[in-house]
Amino acid sequence: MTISDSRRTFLKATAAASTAAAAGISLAPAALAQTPGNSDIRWDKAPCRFCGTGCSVLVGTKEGRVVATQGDPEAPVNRGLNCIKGYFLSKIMYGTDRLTTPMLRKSGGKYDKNGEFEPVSWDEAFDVMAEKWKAALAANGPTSVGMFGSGQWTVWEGYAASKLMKAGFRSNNIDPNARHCMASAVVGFMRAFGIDEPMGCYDDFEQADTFVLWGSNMAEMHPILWSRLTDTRLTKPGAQVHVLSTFEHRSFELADNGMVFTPQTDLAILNYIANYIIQNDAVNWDFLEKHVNITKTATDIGYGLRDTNPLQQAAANPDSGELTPIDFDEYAAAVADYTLEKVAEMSGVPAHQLERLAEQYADPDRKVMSLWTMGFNQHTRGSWVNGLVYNVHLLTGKISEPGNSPFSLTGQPSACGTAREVGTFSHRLPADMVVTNPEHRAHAEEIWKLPEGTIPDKPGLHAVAQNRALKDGTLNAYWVQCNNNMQAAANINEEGWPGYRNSQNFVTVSDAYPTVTAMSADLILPAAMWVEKEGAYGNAERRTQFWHQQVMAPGEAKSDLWQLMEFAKRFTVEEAWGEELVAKIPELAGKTLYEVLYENGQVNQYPTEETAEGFDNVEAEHFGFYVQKGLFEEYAMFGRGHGHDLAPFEQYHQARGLRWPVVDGQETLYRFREGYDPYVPEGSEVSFYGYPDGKAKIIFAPYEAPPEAPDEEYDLWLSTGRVLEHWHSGSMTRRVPELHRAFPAAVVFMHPEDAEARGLRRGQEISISTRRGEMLSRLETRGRNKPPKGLVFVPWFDEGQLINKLTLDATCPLSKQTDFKKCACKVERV
Amino acid sequence: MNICGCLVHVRRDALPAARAQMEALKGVEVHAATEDGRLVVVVEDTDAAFASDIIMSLHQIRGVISLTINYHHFEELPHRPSPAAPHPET
Repeated sequence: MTISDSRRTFLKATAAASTAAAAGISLAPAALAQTPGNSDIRWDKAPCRFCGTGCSVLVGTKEGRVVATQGDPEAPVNRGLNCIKGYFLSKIMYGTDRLTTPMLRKSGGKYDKNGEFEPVSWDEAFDVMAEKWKAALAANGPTSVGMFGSGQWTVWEGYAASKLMKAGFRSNNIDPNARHCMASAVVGFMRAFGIDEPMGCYDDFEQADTFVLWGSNMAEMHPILWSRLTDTRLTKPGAQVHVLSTFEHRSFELADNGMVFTPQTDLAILNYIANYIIQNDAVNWDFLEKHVNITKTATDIGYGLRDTNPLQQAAANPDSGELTPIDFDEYAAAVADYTLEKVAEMSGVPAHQLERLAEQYADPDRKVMSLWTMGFNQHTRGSWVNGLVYNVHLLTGKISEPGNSPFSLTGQPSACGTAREVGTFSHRLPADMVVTNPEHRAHAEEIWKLPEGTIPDKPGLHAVAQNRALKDGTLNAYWVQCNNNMQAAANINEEGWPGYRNSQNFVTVSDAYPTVTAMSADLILPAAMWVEKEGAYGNAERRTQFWHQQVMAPGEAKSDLWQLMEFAKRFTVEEAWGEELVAKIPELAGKTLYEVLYENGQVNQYPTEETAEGFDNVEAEHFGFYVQKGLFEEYAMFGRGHGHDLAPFEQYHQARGLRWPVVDGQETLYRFREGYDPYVPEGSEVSFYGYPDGKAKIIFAPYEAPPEAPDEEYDLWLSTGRVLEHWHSGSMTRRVPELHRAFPAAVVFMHPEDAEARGLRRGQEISISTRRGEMLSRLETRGRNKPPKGLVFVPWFDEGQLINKLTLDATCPLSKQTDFKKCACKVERV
Repeated sequence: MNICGCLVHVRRDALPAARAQMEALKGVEVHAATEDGRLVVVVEDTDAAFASDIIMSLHQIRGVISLTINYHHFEELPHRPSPAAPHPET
C-alpha cells in the first residue's frame, strides 16, 4: 500500500471535480484539479459492448491488453458518464474460460454427434462443417441450412452474414436474436410509418415535460438514459414521471404516478387514453386530417404457436395483419368501449391514476415522451400494442418534434444498426427492403452483381420457427453466432434442446465463452469480441458509431466476420447455386462464394493501407483489403438517397456517432419534421414519407386475452427479465467477478403474502414449474422488485437456473417475437 | 487501488437519510449535494471492499434513483490483499 495521503486526497478531489463538472454542479475551488496523464496507456473511443443506449467509452490499452474504460466526455449520449456494467467493460474479455481454439465433438478421432468436445484446427473445423452443409444442400436444398445471428454483430458482420445466407446459400433462414427483442417494435414502425426506427432522439430526455414508462424498468436496464431522465425530473419545474409495469421495480422510486397493472391490459389502457382524448376534445384535428389515415387491424389472430396447437386452430384469422380503412367516427366508437371504469377494473389500476396519465397525453401544453422496451415487444400482441401507443401520439400530433416522442428503446448494442438496418431478419433485405418484393430482390441482386433470381422470394424461418424446424429435422445445418439462444429462447425442454441434439442436424456455435448454447452444439468456433476487431454499432436513436481494433484476440479466436468469409471460400457457386443460375452469368462459373460475394470489385476495392495507423486489423491483413470499409460502402449504397443515408466511412471514425439519415454531412435529429429532416418537402411541415401519401396510420386493435393465464393448478403469473448487474444471458457479466458477486444467482421475486399463503419463507429453496418444465430456485420477498399478489418475477441471466425451460414459446403472430412476460406457473416447497 | 467519482440522484424526501447512510460507509465521501437531490460521491477501496463493491451497495440505498460513474482512477499496488466478497443484495 504505497500511496501518500496527499496524493490520495488529490486523486479524490480530481474524481469529485470531474463528476461535478459533468453534472453542472459547482464545487469549492480547492477541489478543482487536473488529472495527471497516464502516458503509457493508449486511450481510444468505442461504443459500449452492452445495451442499445450506445454510450461511448474511452478504452485504455496497455501492453496489448485493455486495462481500463472511462465514460467518454465528448460523447453526446452519455457525456462522460458510465453505468456499473460499463465501468467493468475492461474485464469482459478476460474471463478465465475464454475459448481459444475450435472444439469439435469427437470419438475415436472422428466427428461424432455424441462424442466429447476436443480441440481441432480451423481447417478441420471448417472441413467437417462444410461437408455437413454440402450434404444438407444436396439432400434437402437451401431451406435446410440456416443461421441465427445477433444484434451484437457489428454492422459489417451482419451485412456479410446476410449476404452469405441470402445470396450465397440462397436461404432466407437467417434471423437475429433481435427477433426476441425488437421484432414487435419493427412491425409497429413499419405498419404505422412504413419505415423503421424512432423519429425522435435522446435530446427528448431534456425536452419533454412528462415521461411515461410502458413496462420499461429504465433504472436498471438503461441507467445512463435514466440518469438523463432523472436529471430532468429533478431540475425542470413541473416535470412528471409515470411508470407502468406488472410489478413494482426500481423505476417506481422516481414515479409521480406508479401503476401496477394486470398483465395484457396495457392494450386496454392505451385504448382508454385514446378514448379520453376524443371525449375531452383533445384531438389535434389539423394534424390528424393532414397527416394521418385511420385503420383497424384483423382480430383473433392466434398466438404464433405450432399449427397443431388447439389455440392456433381456434383462431379465426391466424397470423393476419390485414388493415381495413375506417373513418374517425368508427374509430371513436371502437375505443368508446374502453371507459375509465371498465379499464380500471380490467387493469387493477385505480381510476384516478389512469385519468392522471391520460391527462398528460391530452393536455396540448405538455410534451410527452413514451418509452418502452421488452414489456411491449415481448407480448403476444406486441405489434398491436406498439401501434396503440403511436395512435395516442398521432391523435394529439405529439410526435416528430423535440420533447414529443414515442420512443422504442433497444436492448442490444446494434439491434438497430445491424439486425434491423442491414436486413438480417428472415424476411428482410438492407434498408427496410423485403425478400417478398420482386423489385427489392432485383435491386439487391443488381448492387451485389449477382444473377437475377439468386435471392429466394419466400421469407425464411424466424427464430422460433428455426428451433421448431431443428426439432422436426427440416433444418439440418445450422450456425449460431454472437448470441446464447439455448438459454435465451423460450421452451428449451420441448423445442430448443431436442432441436440442437437431433441426430439429423449439425449445429455450429461461434462464441467467446462456453455458453449453454455452445455446449449444446456439435462444433464450437472461438470468437474475437468487441475491441478485438474493428467494428460499428447503431444505437436506438439511429446513431452509427465506429471503433478501431485495439487489442488482439487470444489464441486462435477469430471475429465472426473472418469466420463467415473464410467459410465462404469452401463452396463453389455450382455447389451452392446449381448450374442453372450460374449459367445466367457464365463469368462466375467455378468461382467460390467468397469470390463472388466479397471479391466482387466493390467489397475489395479499398487497400489495406487505408486502415488506421497504429491499430491492428486482423481481417484486412488476412484478406488483403480493407474488408470493413468495403462491406460498409457496399451496404451504404442501399440506403443513400432512400431515407437511410449513411455518412462516408471515415467520418464515423472521427465523430462520436452520427444519426441517420446523414445528408450533406448533417445528421437528422427529428425525422418527418420540416426543418430537421431533409426528406420532408418544403412547406409540408410534417411528412410521413415512409408511405407514398406521406401519412402515418392509426391502427385500432382491441384487448385480446393472453394464450395462458393463471388457473387453479398453475396459479401465478410468471414474468422474466433482467437485473442491473447482468446483461442478458450473463455470458459476459457473469465473468466479471464484481458483477457476479453482486448478484450471483437468480431468485424468484414474490409478494410476502403469496409466500406466507404457501408456507414459504424468504431465502428458502423452492420449486417453480409450468406445464413445460421445473426449476429450483430461492425465494425473495424483500428485494428490489416487489411483485403484486399473483405474480412472480425471475431474471434469466443465470445459466444455473434456466428459466426458459418453463416459458411458453407463444409469439406475436405478426412480429413472431416471443412473449417472455406472461405464462402460468406455480411455486412450491421442495 | 481504485478511486471513483459518482453522480448519484436521490429522491428529495429521502435525501438526508440517504446521505447519512452513504457517509457512514467506509470508503465513501460526499463532496457536494444539490437541493434537488444530486450528490457528488467519491468512492475508494477499503481494506474490506473494492470501490466497485461499495458502488454496487450504494445502488441499494433507499431513495437512490440513479447512479452513474464519471471518473475512475486505478493503480496497481503491490501486495494488496483481496477483500472478502460482500453479502449480495437482491
